[in-house]
Amino acid sequence: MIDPEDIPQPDCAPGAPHPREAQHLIGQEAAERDFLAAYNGQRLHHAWLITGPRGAGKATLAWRLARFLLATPIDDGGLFGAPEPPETLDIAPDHPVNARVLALSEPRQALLRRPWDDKTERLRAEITVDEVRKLKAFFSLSATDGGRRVVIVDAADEMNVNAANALLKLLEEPPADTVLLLVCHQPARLLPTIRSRCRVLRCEPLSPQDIATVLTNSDAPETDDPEALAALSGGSPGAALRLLNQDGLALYKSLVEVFSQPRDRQAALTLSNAMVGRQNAEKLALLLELLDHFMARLACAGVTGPPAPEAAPGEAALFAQLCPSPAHARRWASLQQEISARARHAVAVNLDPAALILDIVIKFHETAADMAA
Amino acid sequence: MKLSIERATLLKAVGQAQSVVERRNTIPILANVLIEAEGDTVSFRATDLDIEVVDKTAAKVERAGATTVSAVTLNEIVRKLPDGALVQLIDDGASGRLEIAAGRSNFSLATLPREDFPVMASSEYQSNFSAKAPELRRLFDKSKFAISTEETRYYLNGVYMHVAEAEGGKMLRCVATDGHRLARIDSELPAGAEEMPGVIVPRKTVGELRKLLDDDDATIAVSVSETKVRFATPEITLTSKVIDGTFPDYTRVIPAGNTRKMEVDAADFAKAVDRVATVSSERSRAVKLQLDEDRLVLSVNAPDSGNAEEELAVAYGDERLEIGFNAKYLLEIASQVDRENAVFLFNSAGDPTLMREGNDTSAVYVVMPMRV
Repeated sequence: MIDPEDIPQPDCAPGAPHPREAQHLIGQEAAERDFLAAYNGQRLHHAWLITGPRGAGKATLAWRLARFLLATPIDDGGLFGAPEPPETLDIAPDHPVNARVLALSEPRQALLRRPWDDKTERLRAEITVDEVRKLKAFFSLSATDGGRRVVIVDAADEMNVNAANALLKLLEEPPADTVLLLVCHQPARLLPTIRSRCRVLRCEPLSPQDIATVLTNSDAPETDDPEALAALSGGSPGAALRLLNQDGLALYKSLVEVFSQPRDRQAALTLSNAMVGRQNAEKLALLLELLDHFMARLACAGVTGPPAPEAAPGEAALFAQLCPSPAHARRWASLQQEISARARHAVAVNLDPAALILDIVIKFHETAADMAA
Repeated sequence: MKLSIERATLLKAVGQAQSVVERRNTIPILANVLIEAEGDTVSFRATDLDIEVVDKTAAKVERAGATTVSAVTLNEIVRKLPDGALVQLIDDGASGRLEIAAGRSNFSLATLPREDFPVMASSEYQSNFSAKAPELRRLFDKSKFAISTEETRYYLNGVYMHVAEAEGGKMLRCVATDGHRLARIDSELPAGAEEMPGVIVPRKTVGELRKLLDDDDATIAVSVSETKVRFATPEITLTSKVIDGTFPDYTRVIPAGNTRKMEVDAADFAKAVDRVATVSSERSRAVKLQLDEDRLVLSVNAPDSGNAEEELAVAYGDERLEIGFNAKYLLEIASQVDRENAVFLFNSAGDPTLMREGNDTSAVYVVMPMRV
């Protein structure tokens, strides 16, 4: 059997530290202010749906809120009246809650994430109902030393229907002094009944400056083109880190090159052959994502003009040539839908990645030639 | 931290503490035991976040300090050391290792910082009193068989310990039920317990508590608040969360007007029930009791495997009665009787039946009949 310490953490992005280890959160001041306003206004809702793009800091925010809620005593109208309303979510760095949350040993906190399956020796694809039922045991016992109890669900859209329905019961009738924090990448995938019982806390995409700050604080490799990185990451430092770690900028550059050279079959072949094999599965996923980005940026260029800043050299010129008007943009947008549906299908049925990429490139050039004619 | 301690003392302390550590556990710090050395005592603390056990014992402490190491590994090491060995525990605080030395054996275990270890606060109890170990043993031993395992009614998954008004004044009372049977055990109210809030002690805690109650002469210090309960001997302190729920009003279901009285030797009765139930393979083995004047016929009729019947001499003076029970329930309540005859009080074949020992009302049991 696998050593418990070697079990991968399902709520942790590959190559990044676990969100509970992050002591700082950058660029989500608006969400923090919203939460503090609710807290100080004595209207703390019991369930919060934390939404936003993947990698924007939703989980980091959830853990930050959890630490704050666990470390701040409940106002029970003691001898000296209510304590000063807190102005930040920061808690003292030597507060005992910090160490315990980090070790996952805080008795008043529960964490729901995808469980490990001992039989198949891999993580389950979804949060199962048994995980949610564990909360029942958690709440059936008293909170030993009083104070709030906090549940983090990371991520809520990974719950299957049964699990979601089991959680719904808790959302409807929460025990006293309990706060549930639901991290959610795609709120549309949640049951409407769950969405309607939560207050939404939106994590906005970060500005390029904020992304640069996050990247300087992390131990990611240096980038020589921070602007391109910010443009491609869509305001998500998590995505930016991933691009950096997997050399996504270079990949995007080669993608732009392949699309600017309709006659250069060799470049297309090299690119598609690099995606073959199991060891390149992550790279393929990144390429398909970048392809989506590329097509979206291309279509946008027809309406709003060439992108600034460029994510790869020659990008703006290529866009200006391929997509000069909104009418072109419409064609490209529908091609993007077609291509991304085809790619999803190909991945699902395990088609040869090389053939898939080559097929997409040919299709792209055909459409370009067709439009030019 | 630096201390030396006798192997047998260490084994006892670590063994008791590590029994609450969850075997299948994915959180590293919860697999550890917190060792704290100060003055001339060392304490071993282990928890599963619901229950905490602290075992204090005397040791020669050269340098005070605290650290945590894997409870299971420490226990295994100490168990395998030769009897009578003097064990040294040394932690220099910087290396992240605990050195264990005994004779020519040397071990070095990885430690985790003590700050990661969740410690239950020891303050804020509303009621503190001391009780004799045999009294507590009786209260919990005689009631725990009736604890429910059904998770939907989580408030029945424990023993309800509270202060109740009984015939002889205020009593310390333990009640457990699963909806089919109920046990209500009274004991004299210890001084200082009058203000105790009623708490539901979880099943696992009852099991752990039992280990403190073996010594007949021991006195147990009990502390109760609405959110936790603590039982302590001079060496071991057991602190536990309680079940956060309201125990149902059990007094309504204890029948007061049952008049048909049957008296029987409990051991003979239990054996007979066990024998006749053998032929039935169902999960709920129904046993039929046919009562006539001073005569009891126990019978089981299992259509696909066979029948069984046994006759017992009992003291019964009322009119004829036929009533069915789950054999397991009957066996369990009958085995609680240890001094006198078991006295059953029936009403009709559809009403709950009451059982007690002789005329002693300090321990009564209620069991629901089955249709047979």
